[in-house]
Amino acid sequence: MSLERTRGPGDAGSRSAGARLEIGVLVSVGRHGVTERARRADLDARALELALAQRSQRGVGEVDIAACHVGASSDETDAALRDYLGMGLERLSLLEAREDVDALPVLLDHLRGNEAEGDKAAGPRLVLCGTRAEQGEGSGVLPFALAEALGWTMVSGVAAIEALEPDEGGWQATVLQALPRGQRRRLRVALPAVIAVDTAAPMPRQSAFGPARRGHIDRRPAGGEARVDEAVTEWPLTAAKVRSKRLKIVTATSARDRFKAAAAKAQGGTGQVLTDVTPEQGAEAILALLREEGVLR
Amino acid sequence: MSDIVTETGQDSGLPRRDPRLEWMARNRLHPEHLTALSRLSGTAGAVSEWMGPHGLIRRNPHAIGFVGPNGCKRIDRSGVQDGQGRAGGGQAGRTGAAQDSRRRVEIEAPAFWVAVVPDTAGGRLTDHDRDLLGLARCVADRLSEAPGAVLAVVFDARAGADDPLAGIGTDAGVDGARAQPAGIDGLDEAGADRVIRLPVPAGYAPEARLAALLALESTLTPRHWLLPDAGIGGGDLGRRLAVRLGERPATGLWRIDTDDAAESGWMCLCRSGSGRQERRRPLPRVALALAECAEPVVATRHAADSLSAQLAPQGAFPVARRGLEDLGAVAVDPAAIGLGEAEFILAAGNGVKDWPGFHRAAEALGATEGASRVAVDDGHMPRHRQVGATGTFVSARVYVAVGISGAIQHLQGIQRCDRVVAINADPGCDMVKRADLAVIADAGAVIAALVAAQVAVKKQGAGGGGELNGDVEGEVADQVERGRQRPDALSKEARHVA
Repeated sequence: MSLERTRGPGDAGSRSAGARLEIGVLVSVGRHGVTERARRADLDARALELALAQRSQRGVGEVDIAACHVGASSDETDAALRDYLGMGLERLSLLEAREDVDALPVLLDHLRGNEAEGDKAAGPRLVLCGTRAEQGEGSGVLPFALAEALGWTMVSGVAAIEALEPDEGGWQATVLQALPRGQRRRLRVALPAVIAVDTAAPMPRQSAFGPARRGHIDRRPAGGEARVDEAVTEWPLTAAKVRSKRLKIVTATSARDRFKAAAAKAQGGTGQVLTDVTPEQGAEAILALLREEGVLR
Repeated sequence: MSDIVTETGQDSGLPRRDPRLEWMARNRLHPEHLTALSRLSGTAGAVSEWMGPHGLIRRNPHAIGFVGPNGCKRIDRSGVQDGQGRAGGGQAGRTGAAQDSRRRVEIEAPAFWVAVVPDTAGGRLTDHDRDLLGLARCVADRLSEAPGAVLAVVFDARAGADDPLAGIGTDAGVDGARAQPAGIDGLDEAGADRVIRLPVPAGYAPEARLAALLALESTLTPRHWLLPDAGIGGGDLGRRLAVRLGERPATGLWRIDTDDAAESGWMCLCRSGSGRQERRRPLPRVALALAECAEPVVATRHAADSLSAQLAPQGAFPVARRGLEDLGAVAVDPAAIGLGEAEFILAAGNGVKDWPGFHRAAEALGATEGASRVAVDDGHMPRHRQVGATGTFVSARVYVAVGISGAIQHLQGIQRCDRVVAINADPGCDMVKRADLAVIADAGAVIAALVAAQVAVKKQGAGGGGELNGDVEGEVADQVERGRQRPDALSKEARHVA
């Protein structure tokens, strides 16, 4: 019911003049899981897909998409970035910085750039990105650090953006958050916000060759403090070791217990068996268990 | 025999020994040997085990065992017989004490604190939480002369009557809504020395939770914060906390090793986001650990007392920014949820004859549909709904197997399910052995009765049929009738392969 309350003014507001929103999308260069070749990162492509879906829903004139990437320019990077352009973007900014530079101050400078020019509303009020990167550390901390430094709202694990509407004094987004077990939760987010997109978000559209060729990569030197990320040099990443399978630990005090544990068959044996019951009684017992577990809606 | 004095003095309650009786019990050639044995044990039958005069345990092999089918005496040493014989005897106390031999550990004045924020899905500790508490124990117990204490931080969501998530028992994130005011069981066994309950609003409120953790940080300043690196529970909160504290958190932590060169005394191995690389670094203040990061605590029991009042944060926790509002859970079509992540599965096997009735039951109960291999091979269900070794390995909280006898491949597929319910006509099948609740009846009749009961509840609650359409109820009633009128189906579906 509270949802309908927000949707009413929202629909009216989206049609009013001047309701224009800029969505920032942070894109990174991914790695294919098997071949390890550079490609668009899956989660970032999903984030861009959400932004593109908003643009097609609200009209091209109403939503601007400002995608940006921080990193060194190379053939591999360009090819991966062109994958994003092939999804229907016209331009994408590449903030050129060395690979070991901390991306956070660069992004902060980029996002605050418009504010510094005096036009406070011009910069993106909503930043979309994947939950974590596909290469490098991939700790997933960057969106949180960005939101904290900007003082924005942070939402993680988002599967869909249901609505974006102007509210009194700002914008509001209604998003669906992916919970485990395929469940969803509806959240109302006050913009400005950073939204990290989960694997539950819709599959990104295919990258088309023509738009990828025509799209423009806007190269500019990274602003802000070019701080070398000390963790990259201090704690290098190595190839992951195989985690050994956990063994079953038996803490038996006697030989008989140890033997029983070794020879035990996988079976419950403690279950309740209802024989000679009417179907109604059986159904009642099952429903009681379902209610106890809380799976019935 | 009237002259034999009993072992226990009736008046004083002190144990009194009768040497003559003991002598008779030892001498099995004595004509009153068996009587003396039973007198000593205080039970009717002959005793098989007793304490001798020098404190040795004496065993009487003649008093135990049974005569096997070929006339030989057999002694079952599996403990089943022994335990039964002992249950009512004087030895029961000794056996009971042996069951809980875990060392009890109390840490009065801890040198430092290790705070653990378990996810507690559905108000219970998960395996991931237990591993995390094991890791915390490891860190806290490193120096035996100055042990630290493990503090379990539990969020006490004030779940109101209008709480939209109260009925949902999904994993991390909605946990708070289900948290019982009585608290979470098993924190003492899992290794927590102290427990603190922080009041937070129900539902998804990471900002309020973060404020509560920061209040705890200011009063207690734990040496380490450990959170599970999973989903939107600990993974979300831990990153928020680390960023606020200005720490670079260890994410994807899966192993720690002692290292005196490191400031914290520990080095940790952290997986990268892709899982193909890892980084070895000193253990920071905030660490987000993967499942199986350490062994859970098994050998000891801990106090799990409430944190003392002067250390616990008081009053309301100021929230810096309120940009999030939880509008509650969204109804998800259970059929659209993948089998692997479904919470509640209704699976059909060879015993199901009435397929429309089965689909109706899944719809009425709000369950995701599954099937055994036979049902899929026969074309009743699509291949992507197959549960088992050749299909999908499921991890449902409740798995209802309708007419599935339980082939080993199928049982492998449901290994990770919490509760299994079997509806089957054959009481001897493997699924009934695996099940927590088994109903031995005709599957068709039981699922029809389930639908009828559920429809009645929904009608009562909502004043209507809910999302079920009207004609379903009529069909349900005659389906119950049909289910009853098919006794021949019972014998037919008794033997089938899943």
